[in-house]
Amino acid sequence: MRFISEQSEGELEYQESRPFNISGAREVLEKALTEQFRNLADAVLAALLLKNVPISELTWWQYFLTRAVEVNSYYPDHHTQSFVDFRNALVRDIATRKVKALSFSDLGKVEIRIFGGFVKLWDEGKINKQLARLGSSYRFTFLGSHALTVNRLLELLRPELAQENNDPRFIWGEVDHLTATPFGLRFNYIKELAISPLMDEGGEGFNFDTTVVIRENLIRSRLELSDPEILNDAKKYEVLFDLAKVHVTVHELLHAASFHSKLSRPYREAFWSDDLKRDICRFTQLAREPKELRDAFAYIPVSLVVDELNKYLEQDKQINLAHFFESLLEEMKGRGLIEETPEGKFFSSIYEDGKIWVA
Amino acid sequence: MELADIQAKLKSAHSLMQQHDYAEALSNLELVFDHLKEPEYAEYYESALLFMGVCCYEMGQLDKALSCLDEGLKHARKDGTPNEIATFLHELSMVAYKRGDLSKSLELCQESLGIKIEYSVTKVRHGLLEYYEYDINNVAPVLNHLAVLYQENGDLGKAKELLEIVKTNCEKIYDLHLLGVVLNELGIISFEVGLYSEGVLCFLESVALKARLGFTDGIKITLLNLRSSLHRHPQALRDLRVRYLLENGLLI
Repeated sequence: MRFISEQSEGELEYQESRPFNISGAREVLEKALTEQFRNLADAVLAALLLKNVPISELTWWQYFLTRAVEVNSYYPDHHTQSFVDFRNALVRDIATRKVKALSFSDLGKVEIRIFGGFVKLWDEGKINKQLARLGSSYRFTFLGSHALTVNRLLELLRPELAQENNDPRFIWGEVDHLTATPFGLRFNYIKELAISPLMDEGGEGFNFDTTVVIRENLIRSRLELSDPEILNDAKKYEVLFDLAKVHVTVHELLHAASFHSKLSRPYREAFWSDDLKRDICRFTQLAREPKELRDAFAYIPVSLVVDELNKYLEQDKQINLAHFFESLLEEMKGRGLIEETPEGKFFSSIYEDGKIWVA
Repeated sequence: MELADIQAKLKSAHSLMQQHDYAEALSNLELVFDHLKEPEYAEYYESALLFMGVCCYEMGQLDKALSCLDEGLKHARKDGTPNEIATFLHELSMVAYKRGDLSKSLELCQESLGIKIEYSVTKVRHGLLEYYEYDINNVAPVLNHLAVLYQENGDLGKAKELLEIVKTNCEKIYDLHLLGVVLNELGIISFEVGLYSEGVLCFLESVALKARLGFTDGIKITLLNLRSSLHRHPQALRDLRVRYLLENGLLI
């Protein structure tokens, strides 16, 4: 079961055959994935509506935000004409079967096209790795991977136990500059481009395995719902938004640090530096002042949680974020992953066009 | 022999096995084994059979391994938990594989994995949703073995699918040792199905991971597999990405 158009597939094939244009390949992949995840989301929504499952107003609004060209307010205003038009058009498309419903039992058959071929939905690690290698800021979170893989294994080995139900919750969108923390990945969605209509409306942040997910759209919606007047005071709005985000992030990182303490150390040893290097390269696609770079990666919620964790660790096992970051920068300079411009700025040329890309 | 002595010998054998000193572990086990046949020590009998089976397997004494594990399986089927039964089946599958009996190995491994999955799934209810979750730690190594068996049996599609599931699971629980092994297997299969640059990427990721963990022997094995895959598929070198990866390695 596939959700990609012929045109998008053609664009992917074109880039595959000429692997010298990283920015072009990145753009085509992001576009193709946005199309596929939006079509998938609509198919899940169709299944719910055709079964008369009620969709909450806040969920409808979140869904609308993923498609809105311009967002003026995250406050759920269901009388906004663009929202009404969007909802009516989608319901009409579902009623006329232009958008086909996806039975949850078919979720395991869904295949997503990336460079190199099709992958199953549960292989979100492969999708994200490909995006990261191309310097993209888009990431996919799929909460149903356990359910899908266990069902597939049951189909193969204990077919009598395989069940039809699945978990189709997912988020696709743009994340901020920092995905690597000492405790696992952190996907802070600054812009959601497709969501499953079954995403919890109350979950501004959550832990999934060892990934921490933060949903800025939802934090903004909650903030605006709690005080509609806040839209008139931009400064107050941003301060309260930042505070709410720090609160949610620290809360989720503490979960990650405590629930997954056994896991976070191997992660640190094996992947943290690689993920952080990719984040730094992605951030320095534009030349950055040294202070700008250091400020961006000295992220307060991570420092707070590291300081807390260090209290319980022996001296030689404590995490020194600043030292780690500086030694990583030195290593990256030595290996040519980042360069210093004559103006003293940091710049990464690894995504420059003309080089062969492999993803 | 006192209970405390038996417990100490079993503990010491287990620790020796973790240090890969199977001969010393086996001699510790043999010292207590006859006493374990007495009814009051029955609860240790099964563990001793499993440990002895594993030691003999690792030392290449396959007949002796088979006899210990068979006896252990009989015991487990009578009094053991499903997980214990599955563990014996898995070890027996490894022995059958080493003896070259692929179909027997496949049959035992499928039964082991089926039991492990059946008894490690839990039903989760979340709002409108209802789905299964499972204990990945318990399943991943057997799953990897089954994938290798499918591969040997020529069923590359199924083998690749299973290996990708194991890889995803290993990444989620950070089982780095198994991840290094799985990436190596995926490298081999990717070449076999014509996905050359994907194969090289898997091999290089496996090498990078093993280097980070200090598994020098593992690095040699993976590099040998890369070389033999390139030898078997010379057309891979016509792929620009393969050449780029071989010349530059993994950039990050």
